[in-house]
Amino acid sequence: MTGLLYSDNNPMLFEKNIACLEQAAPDLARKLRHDAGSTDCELVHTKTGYPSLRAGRISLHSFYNPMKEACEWAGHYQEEISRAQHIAVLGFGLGYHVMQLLSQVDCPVTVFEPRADVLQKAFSALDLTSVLKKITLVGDGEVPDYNLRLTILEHPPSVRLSADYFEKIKGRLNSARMAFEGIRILVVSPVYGGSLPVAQYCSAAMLKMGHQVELVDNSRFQDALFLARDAATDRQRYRTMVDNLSSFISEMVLSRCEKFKPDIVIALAQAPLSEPCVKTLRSRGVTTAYWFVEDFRFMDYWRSIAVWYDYFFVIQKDKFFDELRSAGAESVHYLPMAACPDIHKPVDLTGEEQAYYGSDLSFVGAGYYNRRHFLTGLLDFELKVWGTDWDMSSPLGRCVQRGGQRLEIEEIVRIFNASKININLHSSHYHRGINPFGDFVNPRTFEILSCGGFQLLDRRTELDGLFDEGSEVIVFEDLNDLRDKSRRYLNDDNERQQIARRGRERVLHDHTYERRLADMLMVIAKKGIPRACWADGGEPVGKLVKEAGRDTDLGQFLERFSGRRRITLSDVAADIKTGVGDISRTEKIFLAMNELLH
Amino acid sequence: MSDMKKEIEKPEIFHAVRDSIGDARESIQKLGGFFSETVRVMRVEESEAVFNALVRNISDLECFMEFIGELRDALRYYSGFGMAHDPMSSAETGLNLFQEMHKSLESRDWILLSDLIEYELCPILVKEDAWLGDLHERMQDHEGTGTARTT
Repeated sequence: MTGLLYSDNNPMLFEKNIACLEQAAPDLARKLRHDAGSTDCELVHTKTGYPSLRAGRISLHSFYNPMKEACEWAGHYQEEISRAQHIAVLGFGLGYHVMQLLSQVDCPVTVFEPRADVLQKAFSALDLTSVLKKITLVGDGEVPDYNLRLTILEHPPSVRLSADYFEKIKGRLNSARMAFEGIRILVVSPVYGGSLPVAQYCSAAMLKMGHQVELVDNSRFQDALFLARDAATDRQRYRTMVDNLSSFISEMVLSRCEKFKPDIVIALAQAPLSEPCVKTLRSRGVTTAYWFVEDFRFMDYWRSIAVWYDYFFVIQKDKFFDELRSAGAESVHYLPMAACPDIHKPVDLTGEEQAYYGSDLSFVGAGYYNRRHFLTGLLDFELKVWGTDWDMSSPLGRCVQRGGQRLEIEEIVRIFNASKININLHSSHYHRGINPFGDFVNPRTFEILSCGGFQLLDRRTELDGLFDEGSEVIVFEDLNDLRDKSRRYLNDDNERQQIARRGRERVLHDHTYERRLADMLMVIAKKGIPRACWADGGEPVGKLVKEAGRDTDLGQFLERFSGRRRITLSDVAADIKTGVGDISRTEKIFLAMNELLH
Repeated sequence: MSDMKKEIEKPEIFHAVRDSIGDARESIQKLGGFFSETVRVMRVEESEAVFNALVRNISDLECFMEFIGELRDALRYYSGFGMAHDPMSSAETGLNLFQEMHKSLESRDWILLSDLIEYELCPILVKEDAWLGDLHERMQDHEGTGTARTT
């Protein structure tokens, strides 16, 4: 055998590496420090002076030149690395390949290595502190949540050494990877209401993430619903008409599904799907999810529908979770509201627009009971109130703009931009001011910040964890507090702008619909996304790769779709269009073929 | 043996042996390239395609070794042109290397096998090529003297 056995483990080096790991992964560091199980690993001194490692009968690195081997490993994955947003490396070994990878990328890197003895040898042989500072090292079977497109790179000898472990990890990572590309998702909107734009934001976000998305926009049935309301002579008849409309829409959704063949159907609050429709979808293997973006105390239809769906996402926690579980819902998840930065964004206003939409204080929203009372306490400020359902004959009526007309989103964005202070008071039908039991955070909270606007927000228990109070948002406790804070921030342009800037940064980082949908799909992906049993379209990916040859450029290109069962030319073209980096020659050919054929 | 000696002494046989060396050199150069490429992929990908390529390369190497064996037999009639054994047939390098390669193949230790091919076998193939080149040159020089020297 070549090389000499390298046996003098360096305890100081080991301690230095462990101390570094301890900061990011204390449990793993503890395990490595105390786990003294038997090992079949041995360090081997190579011809270039660097150590190599052998575990049992498997060599983990070259015994001649492990650094050169690591360069070749990274070179082999060059295309994947250049496109990667988040990389998962299967196997650490002595970390040569990870070092080489880190010299080429800035994106997050997670490395999986189940063998404590391998890590112990690595830590005692090399100074890995610069590597450990840049990676997330995972030693157990937990797959972290990913919010970026995932690229999986294998260190083949490590994968063979712990084949069962990596088989499981690969399954989980592939599911996680699917959360960011290649799922066929049908989004069902309500007929009208606040969750209608949310359905549009959701489908736009998932398209941006690289999924294939179709939105069933039921707003086209608004006239039918309003007609039913006007024509109905009693509540029962109205209910019958709404049920019939729901059955009609459900049949239409099933027809759309037969053509589009989704793997997941996501319904937004008040989406008019019937129970038989959801049952049919589930019987076909479609994963069904519902995002209940409503106050459960005020809208209680969740009691009947929550059990229909595989996943039920909600904007309230604690008590609502308990109630949902009592009602039989098994998979309940918290998913707060968000903003859509492509819509809710800073805009340049003309002087005329600034004058028209701007004011010291503004409020945008419907004239709920608590708001009518509460805002009356601000009449001595320059206040503009925008939205519907206000009492125009009340003292507050003089502040209501355009006679209480309904506003389009473009105008709302302008108001958020133009106002010095946007007041955000969550609605209540029962209280005269702030709802003392208010928990969830409304969409307006995120939308104002996403626009770069400054807001004063009423106290909500679930604000904690979403924003840094005092730094990114300012909360008021009652009318006097709101008045005090309004005066303070009107007099301090700089602080107001700084808070608004930090709030916007937080929203862009943590509270976009892309982040929410990534979270939702990650929840689903972690349990696995079965392929729905629709009549198949496209070609099996495995067959295509085999026909092209795994060693060919085409075969290697097609390998990237291995997370999907079948693909069409349109799928390939869509994937290329949503990718990042330069377009390769193979990709250009696919795009040209797609142009020719479609 | 005497019949064989007569056969070997024929100029057309001498030419055939000499010309086959050129072909063999071309083969061994290609084989070296194939081995290098297979090893490059084998270090990062343990697929059926790589394994098949490796098996093909080894089979080609066996054919080459058969040729070398026959060439060595033929050279005995020319006193080996005064040359030492070819590098691959040298007991201390070739045999040990092939045994180690066989062991690593059996234990599916692809990294060690890659090392052996890249850092041991490929350099020997280069030396073998040089040895063949030297032999070819000597055979050409010998032909220039007009007689094939036989034992």
